[in-house]
Amino acid sequence: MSGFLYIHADGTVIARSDVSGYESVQAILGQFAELSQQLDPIHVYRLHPLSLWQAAARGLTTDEVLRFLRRHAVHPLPLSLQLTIQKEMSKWGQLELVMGEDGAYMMLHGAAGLLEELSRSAPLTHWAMNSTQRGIRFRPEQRADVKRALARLGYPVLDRAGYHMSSPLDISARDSLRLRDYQQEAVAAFFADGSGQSGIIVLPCGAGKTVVGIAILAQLKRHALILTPGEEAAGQWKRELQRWTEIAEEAVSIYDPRRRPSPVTITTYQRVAARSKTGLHRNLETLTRHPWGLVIYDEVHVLPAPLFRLAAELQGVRRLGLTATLVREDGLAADVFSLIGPKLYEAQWKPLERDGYLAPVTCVEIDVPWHSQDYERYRVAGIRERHRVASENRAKVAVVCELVQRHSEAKILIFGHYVESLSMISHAVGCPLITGRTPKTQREDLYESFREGRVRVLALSRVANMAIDLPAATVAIQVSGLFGSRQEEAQRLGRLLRPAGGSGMFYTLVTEQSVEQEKARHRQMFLVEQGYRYEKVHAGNVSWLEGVSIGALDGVPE
Amino acid sequence: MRLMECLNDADVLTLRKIVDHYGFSCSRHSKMEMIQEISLTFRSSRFLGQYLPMWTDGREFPLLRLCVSAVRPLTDEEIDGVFYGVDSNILDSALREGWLFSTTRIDGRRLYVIPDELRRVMQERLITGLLQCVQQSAEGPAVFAEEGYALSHDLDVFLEYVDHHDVLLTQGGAMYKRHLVQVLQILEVEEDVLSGGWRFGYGRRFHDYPDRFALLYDFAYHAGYLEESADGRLRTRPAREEWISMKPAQRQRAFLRFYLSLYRRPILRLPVLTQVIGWTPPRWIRSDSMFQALEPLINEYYYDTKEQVWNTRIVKMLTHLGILRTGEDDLGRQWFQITKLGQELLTPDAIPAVEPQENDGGRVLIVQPNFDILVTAETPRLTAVLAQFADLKQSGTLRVYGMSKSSLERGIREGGTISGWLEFLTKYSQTPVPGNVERTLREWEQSLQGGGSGEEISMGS
Repeated sequence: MSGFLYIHADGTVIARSDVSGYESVQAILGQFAELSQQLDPIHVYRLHPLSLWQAAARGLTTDEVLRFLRRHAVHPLPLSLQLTIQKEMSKWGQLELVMGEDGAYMMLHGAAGLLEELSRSAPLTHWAMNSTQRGIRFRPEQRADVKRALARLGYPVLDRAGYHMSSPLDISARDSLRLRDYQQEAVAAFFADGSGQSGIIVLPCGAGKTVVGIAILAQLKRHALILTPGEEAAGQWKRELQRWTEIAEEAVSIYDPRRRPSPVTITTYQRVAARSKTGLHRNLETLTRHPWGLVIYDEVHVLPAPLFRLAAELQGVRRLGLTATLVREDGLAADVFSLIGPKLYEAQWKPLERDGYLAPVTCVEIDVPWHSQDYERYRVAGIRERHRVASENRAKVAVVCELVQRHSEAKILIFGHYVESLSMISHAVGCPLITGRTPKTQREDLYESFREGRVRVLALSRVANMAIDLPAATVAIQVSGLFGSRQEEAQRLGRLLRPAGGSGMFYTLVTEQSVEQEKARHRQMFLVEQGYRYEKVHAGNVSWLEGVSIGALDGVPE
Repeated sequence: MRLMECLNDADVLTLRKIVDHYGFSCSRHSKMEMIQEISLTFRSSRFLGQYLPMWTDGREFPLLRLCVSAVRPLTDEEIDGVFYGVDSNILDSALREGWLFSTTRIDGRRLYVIPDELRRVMQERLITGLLQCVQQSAEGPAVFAEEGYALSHDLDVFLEYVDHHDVLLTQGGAMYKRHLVQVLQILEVEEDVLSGGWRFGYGRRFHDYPDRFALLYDFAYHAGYLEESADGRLRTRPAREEWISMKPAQRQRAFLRFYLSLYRRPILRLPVLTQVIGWTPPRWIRSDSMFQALEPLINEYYYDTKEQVWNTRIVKMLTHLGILRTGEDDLGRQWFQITKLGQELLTPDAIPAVEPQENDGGRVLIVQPNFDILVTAETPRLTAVLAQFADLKQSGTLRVYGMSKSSLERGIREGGTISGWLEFLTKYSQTPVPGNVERTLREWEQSLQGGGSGEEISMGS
């Protein structure tokens, strides 16, 4: 037996990453299983219905998957897993959604038995116009509802209902736009069918998702709506578009409800979801009426569930989801799959790090002892208050100062959840603080100064969490967080992964003997499972941090 | 015994009968010449091509049984028994035809043997004849069950479960459903609890447990690894040490022997049936065509029809034993194929299957920074300690244990210490114990043991 994959009946595949031949196996395994954990020398993958549908969507067959697994498995394949693979993969292509001749209806095609079974299920019965031997008819506006309902019933559907007519766009990539290999592959995956298909591209934070989106737009040359998680990110898309493409200035704009949408319109999820005083989604209605040729969902994993409606109304438009992770805290990954499309391309960050596109990051958890007065407060605090008191432990201030001193030349971001303690820290360190109240212009000025190096240390409250571009930050210090959300962690780390030479450090300050410790453990699990190095030290030992090469952080290459 | 030995042992009268029977032209007075003539002729393929059919035709099934039994010498009663109702004069004709010889070499009694060379060619002819109407294929179904050494692994898992749980037994001595469901869930091969129906005849607890688990349980009980003690609890016994020290192939063979001894009571010809499967070439074989070919050897058993005996008690159980892989084709027809392990277990002279490496003293653990522990080789001795301090998160082909505060608490309650546990991990881990894990354990040591001053125990011994 020469295999190195340990395959379990529940779909877990454990691989040894330190054997020769792993890289080539990884490339194929990743097409039908989701990498869920990488702790060298062990990588853990999961096969589940969604990942198997994705694989079938890419043209893999049951036989190929089974044969591949058998060739590399240490032990015989569990029967129940083989049956799952067969069952789920055969579902792809069984159902097809096509547009009726005059566009007045859509037709769901499939095997008669299956259609009959489906036509009896609750939501479909409700929407069906009529159902015949040839298929079930639906109204075109039900396109997304039908797809979502089917996905929830365990059936993926091939959407062949096509796209609306859309307006052409005069845009072309500048010569200066040079795509990296994996970015080119991502763009090619989107155009694999010739005219551009809907789906999701997964790239690690800092790997240049925006650039991939822009390259796709420049090749498609159609009106586009770009949805981002925040205003800063929207501004960044606009800057990047103008930087990398030849496009008329007035053709790109950030959405303004008082004006008509421009050929390329950028806006935020929040704005689209907003209601007027009378409860109407005016922005949503305006935006869905425009003949878009492409909708880009930036950070699609944070697409709020209420906005599924927007995604639903824009089914007649090509969809591109960009994200660093398919993990959703709300477990609605199947909905995203049905609304946006299958995963078209995924690059893991380890290989990108090896090729020098991303900087390696070390996570260090620092246990901070209590400030005696704060501990008194903590002891009498109610359960709900405890997290806050522990987060605001004043002993953290000194530790932050020490870290800032240690990394005397690095660009440092300090994150925190509670503004009061952040402002105390920013005073002690002597750095600017950006909170939700900081005016937008001032905020942008500060980002700009940070980018240019005039400001070396910047403290940020929660506002800075999403999709802003802070290049060359090599050290992050998290003084408090909500800990609960894994996305938040990934986002924060993403800030550091922008390659600026050297390696990154991510410090988290945790108050000893407090509720923070238990919460921090969850985050620790997630980070190590993503493959980050994780160290734990006591605040008393920060000055001689073991095993951490500080030199590398100050611009000295490793 | 080889043919030459048989001929040397035979008396002149016996040899003369053979010579007469075939009309050989050698001297009928020289034993030497007759031996040479017979041994030479019996080796020629022309002779065998002509006379082998005469030996076997019309006697296929008794001969098959005889070939299986004849690895040891047989008494005349045994031989007459096998041919009962087929040929009442078999001893005379067999001796005259020269494929059966009598010997008194073993304990002076008169016993009968088929010379090894002749047994082999007869066997081949019988199997070829049998397979003529059996449908075979080089390509098998896409999906098939293959269990390898899973039965042995699952016994490890079950014994460990009993070690760490208070398993109460019903009045009748069976596990309560709650425990049974838990156990069936952690085993590598899934099985459901029983849902009524006739069940008897295939083992001591066959009535209480599903087929595969019943075999596993009965095996362990019979071997003395388990006791159903007087206070109504299931416990392991010191004899299980024997199981721990057995090699993988040895364990599977022990299971096979136990299965044969247990199931041959209801299925009278089980040894022949199993052996015939062992002699088939390693191609995919359509199960119902094989059933038809072997039908005369299969008996029904109360509530089991012949088909059920074949499908459920033989093919399915041999799959559990790792001997067959089985699957259905697109038309729902069952096919099976013998595995490497099966060839090794059923034919002692076959090429040995590659055994999973066993590495008891070596570094077989991988401790992960997320507090998981992976066990990369089969090491029952280590996993017993692991089960004390960590929870089994994933059984099956590669076991994964997870450490948590509560699992460590249990470890300490059962008499261990965190320092001892760390030492154990360090000793058996392929990679250094990650710093974050070590530090967190030390932290817990403070809170769980109040300073870690507990008595050290030695682990992993």
